[in-house]
Amino acid sequence: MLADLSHDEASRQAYAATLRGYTMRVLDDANAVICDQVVAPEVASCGLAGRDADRAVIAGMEARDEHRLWQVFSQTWQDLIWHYCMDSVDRQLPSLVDRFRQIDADAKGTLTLDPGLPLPRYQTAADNHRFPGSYYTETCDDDVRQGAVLDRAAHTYMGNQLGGEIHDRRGHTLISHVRERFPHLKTERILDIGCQNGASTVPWARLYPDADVHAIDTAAPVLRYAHARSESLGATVHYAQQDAEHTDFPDGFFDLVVSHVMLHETTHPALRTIFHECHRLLRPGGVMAHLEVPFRQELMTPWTKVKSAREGRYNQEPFWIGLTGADLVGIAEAAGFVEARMGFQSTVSSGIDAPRGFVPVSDGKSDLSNWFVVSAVKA
Amino acid sequence: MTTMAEENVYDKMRARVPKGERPTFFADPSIDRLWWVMLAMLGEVTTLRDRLDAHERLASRHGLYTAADVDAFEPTPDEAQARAEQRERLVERTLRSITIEVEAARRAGSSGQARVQESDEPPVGRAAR
Repeated sequence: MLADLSHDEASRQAYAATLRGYTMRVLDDANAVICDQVVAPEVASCGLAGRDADRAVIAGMEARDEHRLWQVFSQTWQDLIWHYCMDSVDRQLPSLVDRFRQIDADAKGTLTLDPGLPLPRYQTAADNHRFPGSYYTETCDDDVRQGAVLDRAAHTYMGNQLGGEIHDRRGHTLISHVRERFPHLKTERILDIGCQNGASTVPWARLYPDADVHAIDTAAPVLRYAHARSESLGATVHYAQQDAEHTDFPDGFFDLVVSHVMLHETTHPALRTIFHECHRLLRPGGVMAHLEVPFRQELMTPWTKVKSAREGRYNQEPFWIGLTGADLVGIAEAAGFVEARMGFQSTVSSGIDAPRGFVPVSDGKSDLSNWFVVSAVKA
Repeated sequence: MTTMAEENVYDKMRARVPKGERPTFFADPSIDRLWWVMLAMLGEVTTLRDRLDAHERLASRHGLYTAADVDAFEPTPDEAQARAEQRERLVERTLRSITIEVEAARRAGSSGQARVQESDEPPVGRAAR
């Protein structure tokens, strides 16, 4: 289902990845030194601490030319990746839509759309990750464009770090977490919430072939693409257009509810509502497990705090700072869960027979060698 | 809450321009725009260089080539590696003035900061741009 690349399209995407690498290597490194060794000590010497100090460090950095260059470069490579991927997808969109229709005609999995579903405000207010059109914009009948762009971009954006062209490593990593923490969990019904184009749903369906795997998202174009993509990879998934805050599944229907880098695109109140909904959906003894970006405010240096502020404001991930600082164990307990724990799980390419790799937050690394995870049990 | 029907009236700009803030970072926004154009142009140059590379390799491999040959060209792993190295070098060359600038600032550390800072005021309360 993946959109193909002409010679020049492949070259442009390789350039965007090279420009991203240059920004992260050369400009990042210089800004880290300036921030941690010059600006942050100046702020500390003025007697500021906590959020006041964080804001003063940002203001101090934004006054500097090296930092403005870093901002412009960061913004530009992000924009270019989207544009280059959209160029490829738009060129072949009619054939991708045809392919979706052909696959849908004799699919094993299902796709249930609800065109009247209201979109959450946190999706419509601004396009997360500066992704033009976000997940939900439709450009034609049976549109798969936004899902196709995301699939193409995941590879350009992250190279092989998400697991090659299938980029299923986040799903495998969460599978290894669940198998490590809950080795005896019965898994007949699994739900993936905020599944986007199904990149992390597919490994669940492949590794649990006897389970019914359901996946929901609020956006139709990514669900259509997920449906066709999963079928073409031989994974059977039941996709539905639903809001994770209020689904229409019955109480206690699932043994396991999971999500992958989805919670940071919600809000404080939505996060609480989603955890309550997970609790309602699980049978007693069922488990929820959420994988998130491998960053925590308590592990951050002044420079990584500046970077996370950039994600929040300029890359339009407004809940990034909130989620990476949230007491997710406390929020899970408030929703009725027990045995709630958060920490970092080592990244793996296969969730089956993975070495043990769940460590406390304090032992986490702020890179893609691990992912943040929170998991809990319904009593 | 907005329904899909209201939100999804298709506008070509909607599919190309992210909804939300359009921030700039330099005192004169023209500088931001110049950078954007400059970096996009660098993308075109690297793409042209890749394409020329395909022509050169195809020419030596077959003695003749067509545009369709170039469209179908896929580098071998070794050729892709060579191409990646060429691309790195081209990016390094084009961005050399910036590399030098930030490397100088990095090496100078706190002692050499006066050169790139506008004033001796502490950062607290200074205008962001």
